[in-house]
Amino acid sequence: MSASKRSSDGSLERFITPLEQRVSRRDVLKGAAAGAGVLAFGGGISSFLAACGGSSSAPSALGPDTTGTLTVWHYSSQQDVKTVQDYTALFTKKYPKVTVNLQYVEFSVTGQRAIAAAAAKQGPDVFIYGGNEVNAMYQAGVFKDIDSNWQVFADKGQFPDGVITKFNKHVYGVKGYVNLTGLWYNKNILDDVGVQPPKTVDDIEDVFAKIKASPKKYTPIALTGQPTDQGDWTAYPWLTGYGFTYKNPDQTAIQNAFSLVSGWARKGYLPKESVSWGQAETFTRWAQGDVAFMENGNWNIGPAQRTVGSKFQYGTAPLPTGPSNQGIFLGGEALWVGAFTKNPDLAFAYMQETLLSQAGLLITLKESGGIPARHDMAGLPDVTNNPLLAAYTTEVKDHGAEYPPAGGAAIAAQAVIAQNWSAAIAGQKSPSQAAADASSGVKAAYHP
Amino acid sequence: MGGESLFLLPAAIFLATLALYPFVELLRMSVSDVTVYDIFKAWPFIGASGVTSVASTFDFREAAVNSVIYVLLVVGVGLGGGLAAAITLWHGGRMASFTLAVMVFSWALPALISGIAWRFLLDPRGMVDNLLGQLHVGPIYWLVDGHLPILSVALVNAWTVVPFATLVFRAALLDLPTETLAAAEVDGARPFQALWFIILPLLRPCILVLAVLALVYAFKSFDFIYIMTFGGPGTSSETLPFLSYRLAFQLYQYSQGAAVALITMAVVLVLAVVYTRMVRGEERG
Repeated sequence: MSASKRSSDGSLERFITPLEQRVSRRDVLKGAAAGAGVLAFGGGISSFLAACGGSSSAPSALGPDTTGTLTVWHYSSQQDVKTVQDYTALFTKKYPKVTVNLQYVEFSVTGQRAIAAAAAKQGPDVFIYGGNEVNAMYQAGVFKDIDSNWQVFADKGQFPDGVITKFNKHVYGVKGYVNLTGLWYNKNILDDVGVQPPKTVDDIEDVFAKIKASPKKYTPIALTGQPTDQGDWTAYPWLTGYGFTYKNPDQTAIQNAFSLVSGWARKGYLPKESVSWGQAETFTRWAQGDVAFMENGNWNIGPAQRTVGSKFQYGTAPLPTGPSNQGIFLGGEALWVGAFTKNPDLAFAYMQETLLSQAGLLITLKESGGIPARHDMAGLPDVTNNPLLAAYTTEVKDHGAEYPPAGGAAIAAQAVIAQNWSAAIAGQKSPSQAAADASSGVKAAYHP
Repeated sequence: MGGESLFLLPAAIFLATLALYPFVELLRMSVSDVTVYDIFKAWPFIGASGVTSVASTFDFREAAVNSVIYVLLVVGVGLGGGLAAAITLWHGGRMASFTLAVMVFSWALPALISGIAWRFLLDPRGMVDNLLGQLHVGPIYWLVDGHLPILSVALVNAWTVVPFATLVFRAALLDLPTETLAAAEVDGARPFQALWFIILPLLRPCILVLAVLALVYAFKSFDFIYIMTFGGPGTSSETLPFLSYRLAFQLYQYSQGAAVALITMAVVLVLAVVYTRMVRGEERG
C-alpha cells in the first residue's frame, strides 16, 4: 500500500473560510497524538471484543433488504487488495442485497481523475484516499459533506480529532487507522555484523560503516529518493530532525539533512538508484535480504510476512532522531463520500461498517499493519503485543505530524523538497545547493 | 460541391470537438489565472503575463534544453538506426523477415511495458551493467548520474523509433530504381559511394518526411520520462511536456501548465507546417 497518508483539516480553505473558523494545525497534532498515541497504551479490550461484530448503528432507513450499488475507488495494488475486499465483505454481510464495485484507480492519478469526473458531475460513491491532494479535490467539489451522518454516528466519539478531516467546520473524511514510516532492519545482518539499530543520527555513521565493511557486501540502507510526494514523505523525518518546518524552511537544517543522505549515497551506504524508487520498490529491494535497514511504513507488515517469510529475521525500530524535535507524517487512508453519489446514506454505511468499525480496523491491522485510531482499540493485544508495531506506536506518540502539511496547502512546497532530496541523493546538486534551492523554493511555494 | 462538403463534415466535427475545442480551452487557460477552486467557474483574465512568467523560470529553461537534447537524440539515433537496419535487411531472406518481425513486435509494445523493462535493464544490478561488468566497465548509473538520465531515456525512446523508421526506409529502398543502382555498380562505385551518392539522395524525400514525423513525436514525448525517471533525479530529466504535466496535474497550477503546453504546441505546430509544405512539395515534384 504505497504512500498511505494522513489527511487532515482543510486549512487551505482560507480562500473561502475565515481563519478563526478553521481547526488549527496544533489542534490536529494534539488530536492525532492523543488519539492514535493513546490507542497503543490505553485499555478497552473487553468493549472491543463485545462490539467486534460491526458498528452499533446504521442510517435509519437502511436494513438488510436495502438494495443498490456502490462504486468504491481505491488504489490498493493486487498485493494489498485482499484487505479492501475483506473489510468490504463486512458491509455486504450486513447489506447482502447491495453490490459493491471496487474500482482500482492508481494512487498518483486519483486526484486528477476525481476532479475530472467532478467536472462531469460524476464520480464514485466512496473514495478510499489518503494522498496530499485532498484540498484540491475538496475545492473542485469532489467530496460530499457527511457532517449530518457523522453527528448521529454512535461511535463518533471513538475517533480523535486528528483523523477527522473538516472543511468549513464540516466533516468530509475520516481516517480509521494511521500509517507512518519507521526503520525496518534485517536482524540476520545486524547479528552478523554485531550492531544495533541506531537511535540518533550521530549513531548512524558508525553502524553503517561497520555494515558496509562486512565482507558479505551488505548494503546499509534503502529508502525512497523519488522526486515525488513519497520522497518528501521519506525526507521529512530527517529534515525536521535538524529543525526544518514548512513554515520555517531553515537552509542550514535542510543542508544538514541533505549532507547526511548524500554522504550515504557517496559512501555506498544508500544505493544511488534509490532516486527512482517509490516506497514499494524500496521494500522490494530490502526484501531481497542483503540490505540492513530501510525507511518504510507499518503497512509493510503484511507484505513482509508474505514476501520475506522465514528468509531472514526482521524487526522495526523508531527512526533515528536528530538534534531537533523530529516530525513523522501520520498517513493512512481516509474514507470519503463522493459528491455525486445517489446513495449518500448507503455510502456512509459503507464507511461505518468498514474502516470505521472495529472489525474492519482489525482486518487492516492484521493484514497490513494499519494502527487503529479508535480509542476503544487502544489496548488491543494485536496492537500492544505486536513487536513490529511497537516502534510505530512510539513514533505516533512522540513524533506524529500532520499530513498533508497545513491541510494540503504545502503541495507545491512538498514538491520542491522532494526534487531537491532526489537531486542531493543522486549527486545532481551539492547538499548546499540543494538546500539553498529547497529553502528558497519552499518559501516561495508555501502559502498556508 | 455541396455533396463533397457533406462527406467532410464527420471529420470536421471530429477535429473541432477533439482538437480545436481543447486547443481553444488551452489557449484561454494559459491567459487566465486558473486554480482548482475556479476551474469550473469563470477564469480571471491575466493576459500574456502567465506565459512570460513561466518562460522565465529555471524549470522551464532546463526543460527546454532537455527537450532539444531529447529530440536530437531520438531523431538522430532513431533515423540513423532505422536506415542502417533497413539497408542491412534490404534484400530479405528468412533472417531478415524474422528480424523485421521482432522489430515490429518491439515497436508495438506499449511504452509502459518497454519503459519498465528498460528501467530494470538499466539498473546498476540489471543486465546492461552486468554485461558491462564482464568487460570490467561500470557500474554506470544510467538513470542517476549527471546528464545520463535524459540521454538514457532519449536513447530508449529512439530504440522504439528505429523499427518504424526501418519499415519505412526498407519500403523506400525496395522502391529504388534497380537500373540506377546497377549502373553505379557497373561504373565501379563502392558500397559506401553508392550509399552516399546514389541511395541517400534518392531517399531524401523519405528521410525528410520521416525526420519531421520523428521530430514531432520526440518533442511531445512524455511516457518514457514518466515511467523511467519521473523527471528526476530532481528535475534533471524533465522535458517541456513533462513540466506541463507536473505543473497542471501534480501542483494544480493549471495556468502555468497550460502556458508550457501552449509553447510546446507552438513548436509542434511549426513542425507540422514544415511537414505539410514538404508533403506538398513532394506531391508537386
